[in-house]
Amino acid sequence: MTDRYTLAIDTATSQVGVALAGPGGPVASLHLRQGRRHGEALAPAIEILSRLTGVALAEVGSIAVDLGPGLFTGLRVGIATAKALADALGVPVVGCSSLDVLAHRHASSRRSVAAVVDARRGEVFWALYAPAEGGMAPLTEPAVSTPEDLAASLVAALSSGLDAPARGGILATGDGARRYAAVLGAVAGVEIDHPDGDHPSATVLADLAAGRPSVDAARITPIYLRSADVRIGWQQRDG
Amino acid sequence: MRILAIETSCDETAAAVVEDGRVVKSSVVASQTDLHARFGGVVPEVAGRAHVELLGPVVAEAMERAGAAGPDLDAVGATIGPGLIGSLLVGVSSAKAYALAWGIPFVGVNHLEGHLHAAFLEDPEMALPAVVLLVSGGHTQLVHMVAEGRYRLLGQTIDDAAGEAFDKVARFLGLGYPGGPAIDRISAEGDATAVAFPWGLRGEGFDFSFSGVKTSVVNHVRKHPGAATADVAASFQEAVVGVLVEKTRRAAAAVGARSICLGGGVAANSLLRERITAAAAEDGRRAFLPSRAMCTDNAAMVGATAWYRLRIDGPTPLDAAADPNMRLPLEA
Ligand SMILES: [Zn+2]
Repeated sequence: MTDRYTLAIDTATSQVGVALAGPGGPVASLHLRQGRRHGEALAPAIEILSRLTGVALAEVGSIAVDLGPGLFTGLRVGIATAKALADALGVPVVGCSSLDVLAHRHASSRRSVAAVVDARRGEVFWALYAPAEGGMAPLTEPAVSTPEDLAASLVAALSSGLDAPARGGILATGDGARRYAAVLGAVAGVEIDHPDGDHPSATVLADLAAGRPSVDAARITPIYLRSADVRIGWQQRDG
Repeated sequence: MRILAIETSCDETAAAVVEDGRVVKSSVVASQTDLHARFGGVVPEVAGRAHVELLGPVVAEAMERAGAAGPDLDAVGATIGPGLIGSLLVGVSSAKAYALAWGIPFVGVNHLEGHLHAAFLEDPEMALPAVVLLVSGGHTQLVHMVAEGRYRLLGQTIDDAAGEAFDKVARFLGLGYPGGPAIDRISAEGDATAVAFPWGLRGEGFDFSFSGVKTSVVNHVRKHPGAATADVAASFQEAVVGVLVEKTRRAAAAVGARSICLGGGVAANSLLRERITAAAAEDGRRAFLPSRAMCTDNAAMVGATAWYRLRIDGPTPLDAAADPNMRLPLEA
């Protein structure tokens, strides 16, 4: 399958991102930051990417998809799309965490990274990474907490030297870092990333996925990190 | 023309393969009822999560039972509204992706129109014009089906849907979830004349109201804690079914309908089916009662409607949005 293309789908945040990568690297990508139009924008974005590059979907050998954590609805649109495409095309799927994708963007920077996704309701999904042989190595498990608790974790990480071997402080990236820049940027040694890094890049996702094992589409499930809100939808229900 | 159809608007994950809008080659429904039972109602986030898990296997099963592969299909249809947005998006996104991968049209289907088409799947000879009573957990509508694809709304609920009233009363009476089948079952052992619960908006046009009867049940049980649950349930069911049948019957007479048809989950209710059949026979109208499986949410009805809409409107653009509040396309 290595001679074929990878189609990457990233809808874990308010952005809609798709990218095509071939044996020689990235071919094309499309990232829409208009916010929360996943259900409308994703399928046409894939169609346009295929049309403009002249790469037919039949030439796609694997699908890479962002599993989250992130916006539940966005994740479901991306993962449902990836599963159906994989099923129809008879190709496998590679799932990657949104936090891994955010961190992987800085793999060549030799800096420690805090990948931070806006979880809404005053919380963030986050994980810490340090540069390592062949990419970014996670230092913590993905977590959900308030930005203040994350700031405290960053202080602890920096004082314990957890940012070694980089020792260049911590770069906080992602839309959660942007939203809570005042809280996180106040920690000495923490720098907030450029807005380019606010959302996981589908191009980076395709690159990250290339080094990971693929699985059958049926085994792909979103990373929610939060249990379901159990309010009953009386008003919206239709039996 | 073979259509793969997908339905994920609420708590059923369903897929079907339908030929020429009339022949059901396969119809698979994975019910999430058990998942929601412990909450006593449909939980949108739980439903959305379950659809992601279930849809792939359900589609595979529908394709296998139909003996169909991607190249045999001519279009992919999916319910695009109304329903729970997080649930709708799973089916719509999947359907768009299948359509893209196979290079065939996508068709977005109105779930309510799907229910109206369900009767044709089992009885292509249904006589029009018809009056359709669409009763489910989310809807209670009286629709005048002038011809296929031409609908007029005669009346609808001004508060709770009939199925919602069944669920809430069943929950209050400790009968569990879903409420419709629970009340249907226990009412068989009860006295329907035990309590005279109010018929909402009786005699006033074709609109319905079920919040009054629900409140009356609560007040009655609080005042008479010893009342037999079966009697209360049967009396409640009598009040709801009574007003549904009375208004449907009057509506059919008012528009000169040749037939009366039922749709939606509550159309599976035994008393409602029995009374509608009797009323239609008495009035010289034909009654079309889809099987219980065709009344509740399924994808076969979506496939039938997709076929019809594809001929009338053509394919739905891939950037079409799922609409949780979608209404029937009505005539003035
Ligand atoms: Zn329904």
